[in-house]
Amino acid sequence: MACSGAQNGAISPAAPVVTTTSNSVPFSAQATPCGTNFVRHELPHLTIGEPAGTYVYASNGSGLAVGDVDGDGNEDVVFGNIAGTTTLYLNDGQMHFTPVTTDLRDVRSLAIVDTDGDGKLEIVATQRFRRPVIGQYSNGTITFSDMPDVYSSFYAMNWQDLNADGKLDAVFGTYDTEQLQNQGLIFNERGGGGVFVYYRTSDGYRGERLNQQADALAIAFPDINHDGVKDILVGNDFNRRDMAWLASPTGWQSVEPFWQTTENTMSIDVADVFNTGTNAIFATDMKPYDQDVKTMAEWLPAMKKLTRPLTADDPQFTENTLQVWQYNRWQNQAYNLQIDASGWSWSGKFGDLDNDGWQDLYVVNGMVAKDLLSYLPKNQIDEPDMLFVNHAGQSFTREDWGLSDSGSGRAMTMVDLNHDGRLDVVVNPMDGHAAIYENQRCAGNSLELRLSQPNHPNPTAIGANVRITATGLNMMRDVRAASGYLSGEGATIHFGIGSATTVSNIKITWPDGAISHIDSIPGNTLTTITRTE
Amino acid sequence: MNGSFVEIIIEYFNHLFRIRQTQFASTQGIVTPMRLRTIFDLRQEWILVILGVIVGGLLGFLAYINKYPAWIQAACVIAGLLPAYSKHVVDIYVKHGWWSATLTMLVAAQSFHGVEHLVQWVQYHILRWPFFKASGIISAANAEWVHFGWNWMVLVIMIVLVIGGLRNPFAYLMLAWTIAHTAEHTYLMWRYLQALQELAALGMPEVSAQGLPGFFGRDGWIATSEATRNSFVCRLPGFTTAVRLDVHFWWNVGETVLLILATETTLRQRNRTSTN
Repeated sequence: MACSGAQNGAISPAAPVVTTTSNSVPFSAQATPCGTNFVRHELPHLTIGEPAGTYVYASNGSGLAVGDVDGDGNEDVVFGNIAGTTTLYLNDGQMHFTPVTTDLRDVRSLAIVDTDGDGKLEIVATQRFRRPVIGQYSNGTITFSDMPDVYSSFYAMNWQDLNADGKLDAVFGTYDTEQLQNQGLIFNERGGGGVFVYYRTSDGYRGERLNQQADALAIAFPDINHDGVKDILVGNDFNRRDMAWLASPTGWQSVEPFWQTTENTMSIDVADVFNTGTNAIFATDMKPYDQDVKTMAEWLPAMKKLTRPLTADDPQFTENTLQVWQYNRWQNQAYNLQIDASGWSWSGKFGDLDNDGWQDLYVVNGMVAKDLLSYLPKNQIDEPDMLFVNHAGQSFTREDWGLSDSGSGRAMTMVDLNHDGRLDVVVNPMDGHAAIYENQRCAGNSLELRLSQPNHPNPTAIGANVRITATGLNMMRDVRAASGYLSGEGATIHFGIGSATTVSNIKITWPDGAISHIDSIPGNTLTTITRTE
Repeated sequence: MNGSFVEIIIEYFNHLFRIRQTQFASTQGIVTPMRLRTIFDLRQEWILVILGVIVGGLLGFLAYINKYPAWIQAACVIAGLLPAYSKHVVDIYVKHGWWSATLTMLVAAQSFHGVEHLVQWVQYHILRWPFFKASGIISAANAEWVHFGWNWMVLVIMIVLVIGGLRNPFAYLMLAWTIAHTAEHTYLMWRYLQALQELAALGMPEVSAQGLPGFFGRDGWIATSEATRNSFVCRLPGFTTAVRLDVHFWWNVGETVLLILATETTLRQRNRTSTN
């Protein structure tokens, strides 16, 4: 076990109750016509792997992140790139976007967070073969600088206050297989490979190395042992088993909590899928949805190269998993719920896309690589992105809803970009234009919450947990910095509430464990809840 | 006998039936009644068995020191025992006729096939070998066309035996089981050939399509069909959740057990009839 700087301990049994003020703003009048589908808006941003074509590793693509960078109240979107440049799109709240170009390339993961607690959001990017950078937006330009005290080149990242000092800490993971392929054994000379926690200090970061090796494509903070404290889960590619660490009073304790996991973990999302007040953990892998011979023939040569045969006691399966806490243990329910196969999957996330109170699953997928898929036309496994609609937590059915594009999706997130109370979908594909899928399904009411901790080093309350009651359902969401694959989350959380017009029994657990209760909030509003003590 | 194929088949069944009638009517007291254990009883061939073990073992050892694959070494040892067993089958044919010799060969072969699947199961679940390595004793025979050919052969022989007198509830159940098993392997073979065609069209003829799911088990046709998606059928333990190795282990456990029960039941009936 590594020596600790972790907070390591459960929330105090008598958590302090703190007061709040709230400000509700009704959603904007819907300018767009109601329909039953999402409408695609293509953006000029084009993520490309290499000028001469995309090969493996570069074909893993680049991330995106959502956050109000310019402070105008609208969620902006930044799209990373590999051979091309990263672009920030400033949102005017009416589906109009103004690009801000940068010279940042070779970007993997992106997040928009307030790293230094100055009240302004920064863009954080991990890069191939380079140190992570932090970008400050000001007056139409972004200035990037190296992240202090961090020397390795990382792939996946996520942010959370992990030592209960109020400041946001970061967890980074390297992608050793790509590094070894490109730089040999001398890679990461100054920092080394593996999984690291970087604790925010007054003038920089203090690192703690949790292990020596990783192929980390995703990092999440589920409460694995249900002690009320967030733990660390790292999803690894290439047969390298996923890694988990529990927060304990003596430091980060390595555990293997799942008896069945994904083999090539591409993304992780943590969500209360069944409205039970307990999060499930969804991870994506590579498994064709259709198993017809044509599809299997397209997949077989690549899979024979990429996957190694596994033994019966190996917990890894080449398919999506949905870990559900049942009978005091995690059990994989993806196969039973028929969400185990969604193609060559990258970002997979839950969000209530039809505002019925149940979070639906959307997975973007597809693969393109000149070397690995040289036997296929366009060197591409071409498959539609997949939406699985959640039917009261009992079953999922695959629907189209205009979300079945066949581009090679990579990073993806869900966010309400035009204040209409409906989650839109943003995708940064590989060798394709970034796209926004505007949600025009006018079904059900919703509530969007923004938490605010003024004059606090974590002003957007990343790590907070919110529970509400509406339409007879108890729902729960976390405020997160990132989830899925290379995708930064906005700080606004969204609840679909069906036919309800008000939401009751709101309970907020702030990142430091303090609790606030609010009796009711009107539905169809964007409500900002500000902590006042 | 005339020359047409159908006439040859009819003549064969008539022959079988005559032998059966002859056995029932005229063999009591002359020939030792055939029992289930007779099928596996090689004591009378002990010289051939010992010679077979020595020669087979020697060949296996030579294969070992020449670094031939493990399955060739095992095949050498098994091949050494074939003369003894062939002599045994000829003896049964002489004493009990074609039907009994045919039954003997099927029971012995299916039992060995069942052991192959048991070994695969042990390799995978007990020894924790990966799928590709858990291929039984004669691992090279773990190929789609071998399974396909084998199961059709078992089905045809089973039909012959039922027509020839293997008639009891276990035999009928075995016949139904074999038909279903063969149907699955026919589906697997069809998918295998289609996949090879697709791979060849992609310019990847060297890639094998061995091991695709069939009707049953995890990712099988029943589990992934649009007709059953999101129904309880997709979650039936084993039926639509077991891995392919387990599915075929249970297919063969069922087939072997039913065949032995059917054989034992019929032989007991015959022996009772012949001693009355």
